[in-house]
Amino acid sequence: MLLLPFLFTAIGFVQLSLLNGFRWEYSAALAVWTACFAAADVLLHRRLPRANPHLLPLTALLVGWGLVLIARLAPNFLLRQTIWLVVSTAALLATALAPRMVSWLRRYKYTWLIAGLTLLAATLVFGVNPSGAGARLWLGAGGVYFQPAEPLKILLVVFLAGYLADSRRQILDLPAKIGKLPLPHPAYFGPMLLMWGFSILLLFWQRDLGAALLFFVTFLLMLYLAIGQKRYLLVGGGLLIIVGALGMRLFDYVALRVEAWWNPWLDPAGRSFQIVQSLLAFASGGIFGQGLGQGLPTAIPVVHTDFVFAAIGEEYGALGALGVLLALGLLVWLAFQIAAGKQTYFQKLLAAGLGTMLGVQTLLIAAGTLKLVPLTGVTLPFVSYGGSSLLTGFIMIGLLLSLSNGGYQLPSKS
Amino acid sequence: MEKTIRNLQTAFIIAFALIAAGLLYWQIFRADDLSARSDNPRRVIAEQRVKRGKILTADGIALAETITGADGLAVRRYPYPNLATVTGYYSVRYGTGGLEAAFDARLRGETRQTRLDALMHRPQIGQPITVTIDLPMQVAADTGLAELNATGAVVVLNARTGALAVMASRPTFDPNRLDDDWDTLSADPAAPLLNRATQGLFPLGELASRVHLVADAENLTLAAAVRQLNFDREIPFSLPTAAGAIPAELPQKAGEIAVTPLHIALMAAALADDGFAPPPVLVQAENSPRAPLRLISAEMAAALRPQFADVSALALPDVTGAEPLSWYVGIRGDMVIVAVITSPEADPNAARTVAQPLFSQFDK
Repeated sequence: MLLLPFLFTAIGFVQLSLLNGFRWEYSAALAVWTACFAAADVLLHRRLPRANPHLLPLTALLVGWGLVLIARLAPNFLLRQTIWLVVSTAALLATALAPRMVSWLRRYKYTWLIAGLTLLAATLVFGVNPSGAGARLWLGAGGVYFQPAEPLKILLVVFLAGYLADSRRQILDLPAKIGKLPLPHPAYFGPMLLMWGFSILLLFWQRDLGAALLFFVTFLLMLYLAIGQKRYLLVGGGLLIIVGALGMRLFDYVALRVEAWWNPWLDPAGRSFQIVQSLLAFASGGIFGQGLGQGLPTAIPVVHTDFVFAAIGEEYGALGALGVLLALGLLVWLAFQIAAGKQTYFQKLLAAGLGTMLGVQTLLIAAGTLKLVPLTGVTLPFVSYGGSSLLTGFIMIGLLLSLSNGGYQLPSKS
Repeated sequence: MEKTIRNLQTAFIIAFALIAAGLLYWQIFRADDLSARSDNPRRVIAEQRVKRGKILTADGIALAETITGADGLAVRRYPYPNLATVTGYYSVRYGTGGLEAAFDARLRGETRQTRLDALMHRPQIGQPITVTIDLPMQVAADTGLAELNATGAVVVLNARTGALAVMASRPTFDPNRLDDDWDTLSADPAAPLLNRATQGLFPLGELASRVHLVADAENLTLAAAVRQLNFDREIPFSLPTAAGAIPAELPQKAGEIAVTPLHIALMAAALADDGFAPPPVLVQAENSPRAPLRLISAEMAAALRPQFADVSALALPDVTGAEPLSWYVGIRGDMVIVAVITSPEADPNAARTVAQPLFSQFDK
């Protein structure tokens, strides 16, 4: 199953070598990629024989594709991403193979989330941006940069899954209603809302709109998963519009994003430069694309992180972009399949929550680059350049692998 | 929770499908109009990789050529910067004009680019075109105009074939410097970008007497003769041409009939040969579907020819509304010469002075 992703990645690097001349970084990246996934495959087969067999090849394909694109778009970052791949694979295996990882995460969910939030809060004081300008979302030391909002994604999903599994009944126990809408029980709903609200506030403060939106939507959907009240989705959607409208009034950078989305053609050379260049890249790709290294996706600022989807659209065409959507969509679908399988309540929520996080993130950035929603800076999972993002994605896959194996039973805690 | 899991899973499938639909919308349905946007950087890069064909004279001298730099980007060069009237211009920023515009597809090699070439991103290689221009004569005529510092034009064409040997117009511009000079050139009231040989309208003044001769010979009213000579319409040509400005009150205001030098050259060509005006040709092997037009009967042409063989005429400010104009029309063998220039001193021989150096070229 790993043969196809290998061929795809190898062909990508061969193409780049023909085009730009051979570079040792190319072979290093390909060798590391091969070693990482071969090792993961062997270990998983031996230790988790019943784990879902499709998760790893899909991840391998997306990561290999991502490496080729980084080599094409931002070759100076290739080595860095390759090193992150080693770290991430180790994290994936540790997560998948540590038998008590999930229960451990669940038991200390408050501790983990607070630790994550502390790190995030630290960026307010010590935050840097590796590119020198822009939102300071990273913590850096010795040339290594880390984005605390990324692992917070997992911690939040684990926290919510644990919390909702523990107290979903109590949450809706209160007879008070507004109209037909059952009011949640403040004593049970409160802590969750507090933690979640704190995360969003921090991100908003940091101007990390993408992560804030991602957390907001994931929270709502997980709440729906656990409680099954569609009305909450409506209330949440309404709240989002109100917050968005308020944000536009209060913060210029929010207003800017929305305006650039609503009518980018007003100022294509200025405020909507990025989105317009993104659409031009998609348009020039057509069905079959220009071919790797043959287009001009580098006209889009920060193409290798937020706009990697547009680069695929230009150089691999609509077929390539649909392929990436399909691969990511399959990962999301598999997460829900795992959730629907024989699992405890917590495990179901965790698997579905991880799938939701992955799905919402993909949708946000893909729709953003296509001008379907306002653009928010999140990465395209596994494909975009970004170490913390890769690490987080791999841990998520590790958790899903472990859940899909179903080889252990969590001690029920209620 | 099974139900909500299934619901959300379905919702994700729908959402991904919507993204796919959005993707196809931009990549396929909006692809053409977005790719054609002038602010698309891909256009400039693609344009600069085209190896545009040369514009050559019959002797193989390049009037325009494309040089590819070390970066793979092409630059258009014009070795005869004063011959912009013939070559036109090519600029990545401002597009094309004149011959460069008229034969753009051929010069770019669009007809030869195969699907495979496009797929392999091979640089497009254009085909050359060969003009009918006689380079020494063209340079002599242009120098003549430049020395008088006059506004005007010279046209020399073969009465039998319609091949243009000279097409000069002043003031003109240097196509090598177009990107730098564009703002000045396009705002200049002297209109250096205008090709006066084919698009400049000049009042006939005394030259109207020759139109009268044609009208009398053909037994036509002056207005009918003007129509028969095609003065009232654009002449079909590979470059843009202008229709003459015909006053309503004819024959009283015959002197105010304003036409292009090309109109006059074709009238002279009909008289020089057998009454037929050939379709004007600037590029060799330009397969013109146009047939020669009968402007006058063969007998009348033969009878009137001496009256057109060496004509100098003035158009004074009462008809020009500005500076006096000097016309010259001559027939030498198969060749006809038309020159028209502004002459502040109202010198009736001013245009002939410009045409004079060309006579020796015919006698070679």
